[in-house]
Amino acid sequence: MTIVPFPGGVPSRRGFMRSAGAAGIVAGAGAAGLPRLAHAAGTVNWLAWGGHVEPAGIKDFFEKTGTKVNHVGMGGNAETFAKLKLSGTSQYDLFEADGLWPLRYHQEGFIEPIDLESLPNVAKNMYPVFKKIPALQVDGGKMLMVPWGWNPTLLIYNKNKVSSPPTSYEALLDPKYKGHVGFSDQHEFMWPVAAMLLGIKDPFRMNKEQLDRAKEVLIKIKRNAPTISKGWNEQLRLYVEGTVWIGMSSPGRALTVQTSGGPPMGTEVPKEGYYGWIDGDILVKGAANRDAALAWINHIHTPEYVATNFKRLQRGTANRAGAELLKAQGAGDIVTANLMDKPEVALDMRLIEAPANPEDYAAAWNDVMAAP
Amino acid sequence: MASRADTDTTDRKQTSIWGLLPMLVVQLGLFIVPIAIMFVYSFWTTRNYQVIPEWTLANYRVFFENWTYPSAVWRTLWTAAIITAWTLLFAYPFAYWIARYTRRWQKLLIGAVILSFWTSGLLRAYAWMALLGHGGIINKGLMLTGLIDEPLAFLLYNPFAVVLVMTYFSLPFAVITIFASLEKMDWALVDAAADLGAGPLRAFWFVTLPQTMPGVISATILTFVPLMGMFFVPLLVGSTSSAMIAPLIANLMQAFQLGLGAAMSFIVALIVMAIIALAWRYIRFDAV
Repeated sequence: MTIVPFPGGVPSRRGFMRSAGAAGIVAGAGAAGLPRLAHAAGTVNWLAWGGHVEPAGIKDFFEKTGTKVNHVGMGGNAETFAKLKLSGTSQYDLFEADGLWPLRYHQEGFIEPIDLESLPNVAKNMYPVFKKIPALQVDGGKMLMVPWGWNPTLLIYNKNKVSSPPTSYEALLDPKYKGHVGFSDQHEFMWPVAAMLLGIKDPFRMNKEQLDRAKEVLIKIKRNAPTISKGWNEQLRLYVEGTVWIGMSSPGRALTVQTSGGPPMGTEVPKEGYYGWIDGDILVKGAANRDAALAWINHIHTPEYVATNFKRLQRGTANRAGAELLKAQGAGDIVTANLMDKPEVALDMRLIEAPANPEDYAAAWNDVMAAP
Repeated sequence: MASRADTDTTDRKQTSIWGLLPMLVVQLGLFIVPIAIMFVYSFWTTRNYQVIPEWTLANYRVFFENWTYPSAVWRTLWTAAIITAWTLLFAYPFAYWIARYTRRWQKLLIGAVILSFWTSGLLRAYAWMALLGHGGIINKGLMLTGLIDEPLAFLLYNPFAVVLVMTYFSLPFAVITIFASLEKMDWALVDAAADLGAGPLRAFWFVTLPQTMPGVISATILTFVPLMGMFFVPLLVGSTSSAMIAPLIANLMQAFQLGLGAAMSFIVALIVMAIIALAWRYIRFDAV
């Protein structure tokens, strides 16, 4: 007897759709919920980095004022800027930014500058140097951003694997560290490394020829890296488990790695110089809940909120009272390692900013990412 | 004067047109309009964070003038093809086993396959990193037992890890789809083939596989298409030289290069549609 091929019929469209439907339903069952789009009256909509959120602080604020805080997670500076350009700022009362990015938002008319002395906790608790950052001051002293955290980005290395302390970014190109160099997906911190290695003065205003050279440097560093690290926590894991031996990070990272069970780490200031960041909260121009938003900023600048947050985050803080409370709580090592008691360092840093020609930078970064 | 039958037919037609309206709205709102917007944007450029609504082919030219994007698309295509092949290779026997030999436990086993959808994909990717990483369970276990002195570097941050983890992500789609086909298959034909002297392999090749081809093709498409847009897995577990096209498009969008990002998305969408159209050719129109 002959066995007939395709006895059940060659695949039919209906058959295909039925099978596809089955898998589609299964996929739908696991789909995550849609993000909240609420902008309810009396609720402060806070577009902020997740690391800045202390749920207990939000609860405390609600109990004291009856105002809810709706945290909406945000990504990098460029991504957030693109998001706000496209969708507008009306969904939010507050958002956050890094370095000199507030200037870019200000150009777009997104910001209402704040008189920091009008917020009692900020006036009382913040280090004076952060209240008057010249580049971020407008309108007779008002600030575009209420500074929160800060850090320089320095060289960090595993003392067990890197015998002599690296003094230059050139160490990132050293073949003996192949497979163990840190490479971040935060291009704002990577372009300055390449620019400083090449002696280019302004990493955020490179012309095409300079960008091409910087791109080649970054590709070389990337080839020395095992992976492109995504975010703060993944970077920490790579150091702790010993995958990455040398890279760039904040000075306090050495302590965090060690207290997380990782190897002994050292930090060095590269001879070429360094960049850093100061982040903070920005009041949306025409915010629907302006007063409540300002009250929330005032609330997070209590020493208790700051101490809780920075004990967990382990970065520099702009808040003197918070740093002092941390010391009083016995976390002096965290304060020292993260330069929380040396606010003057923050003003010596060159700050990251929006590139002047974003099209060229975006194309160049993709060339770096896609390079074999 | 219209007859009652004519009036009924007209009423039915009107009812069916109104009945279609919700689907039309969904089609337009969720599929056609977004694609149309993307298409329009792909002919516009951005300059210093401003969209310039002037018609140009510049974004498409970038794709052909810069090797970065074609190479990433090519890498994505063959990576997706390899992963699809591995997925089918594992999914078919697994689905077959569930459909044929686990009557009693079938619902439980299918439930277990579905269960993986209940956890965030990102978390599952991180779980794989916790398994495969230098400080992961496998390396720690091997080092504790003294089998190795240094962590095995080949487990993570390379094409092997990408294929492994993405195959894991694709498996449930393929298993469910192929299982659905096997479930409604006429198993009596397999028995008949055996009665008539066909060995198990011959019966599988000429009876089972052809009957389940709709499921296999569905599984192929449902595996391959999402892989083309896979964003986070290659970034998390891949090497620094294995960038696929989706993260590059995401970079463009995040940098407000909307036109260029849209053009790249559209090129990828066209490639995916061409692949589906090819698959479509093998689906017989009259076998409904």
